[in-house]
Amino acid sequence: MKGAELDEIEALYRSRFHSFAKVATALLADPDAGFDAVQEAFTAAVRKRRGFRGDVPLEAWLWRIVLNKARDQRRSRRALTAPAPQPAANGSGPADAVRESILGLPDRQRAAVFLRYYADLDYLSIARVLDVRAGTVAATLNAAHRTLRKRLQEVPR
Amino acid sequence: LSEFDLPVQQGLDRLAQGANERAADWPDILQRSQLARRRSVLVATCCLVLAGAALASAAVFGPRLVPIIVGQPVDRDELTPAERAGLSRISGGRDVPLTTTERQPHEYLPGIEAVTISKRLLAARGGHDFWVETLRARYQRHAVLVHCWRFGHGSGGCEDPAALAGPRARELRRFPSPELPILDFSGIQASTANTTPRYFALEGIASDAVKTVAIELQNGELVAVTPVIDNVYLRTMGLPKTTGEAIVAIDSAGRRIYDACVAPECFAKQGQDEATH
Repeated sequence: MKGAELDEIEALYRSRFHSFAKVATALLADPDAGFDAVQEAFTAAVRKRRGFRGDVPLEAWLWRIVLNKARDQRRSRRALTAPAPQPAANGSGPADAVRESILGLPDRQRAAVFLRYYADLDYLSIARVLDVRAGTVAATLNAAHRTLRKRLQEVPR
Repeated sequence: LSEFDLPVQQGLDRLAQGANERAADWPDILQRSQLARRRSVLVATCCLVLAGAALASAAVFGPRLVPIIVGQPVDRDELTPAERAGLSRISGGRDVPLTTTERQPHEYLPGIEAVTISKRLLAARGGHDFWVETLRARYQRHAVLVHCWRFGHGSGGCEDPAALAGPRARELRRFPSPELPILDFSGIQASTANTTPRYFALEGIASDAVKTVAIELQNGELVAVTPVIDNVYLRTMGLPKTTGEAIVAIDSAGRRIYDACVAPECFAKQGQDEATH
């Protein structure tokens, strides 16, 4: 077992904090919840750092924990709140339709889009985070693009 | 990023709105980590205490703890003195000192001047008490078996005294005998939601010859096999969802020495017999 050093985790946290926060915020549609998910994810990473096997880069391991923590929080929030239509932030319109279209993507497509856009990860890095092949990432992102373009064409302007 | 269309980029930016307003807070992570560690230590300590309590119980009863709890028969001859003492604390009879107020005409035998001479608690388990009261009435001694039960905060009751004048009184005169080695007090209930009657307790008193008591289902299978400890059998868990066909008494050699029919047709017949008496 390899294990991860505390200062390595801290360095990645400090240098990539806003990318982690953006992905978590986008997944949870709430900046406060996104921040909390990142903090909880790194708390878990600090506590479980001895269990890091080193089969993927440390950053990919940390991204997995952040994504899992954000998904867990989303499930908990769904379980606690009654299903209701999300209120539009600035009134309804094409912008909200885009937002809804992104949130309506399948889980893996949405994660790939977020990692690509907010974290600027290359296909190989995304593949390591999602535990798929790089070719699958390309196909997943293509499918997401197609879906979003199609939905945008359907939105009345 | 050019690979995303402009409207999509705008949508993504809106989704992550507010994320840049928060700053990285590494000390907060270290603090949360320490709190989580303390929680883990607390949980581990609680688990250790519980495990210790379980081990202490197991040390008294040894490997027989599980059979005793789940209701498999345990040979008392195999038990150590410590185990016997433990069982006695659970189910053994003990004399109860009488107060002067209990030396009154007996309430269970209306019309008869009776005085309680002694009162002995045979078993007190799961909110059910079995008492034997020795009475003196008309210059003769009588023994009366009383079954009481408690629910929650002191509520409960005792076997209807009037029943002692009916078939239960006749049973009491015959018990214990080869014809009637057990005196069953099992409770059966049916609710409006589930009209099929079912046991909520298999309980009663048994002669020395009875080792276990069980319920026989329609297919002949014996379930809820319950050991007789200090002449008492009592089980409130693991009971079948029907009344079954019979309550069966089994001796130490595994022979059925008594069957009490509890099928609905037997209850109907019992009702007719009581009406003729």
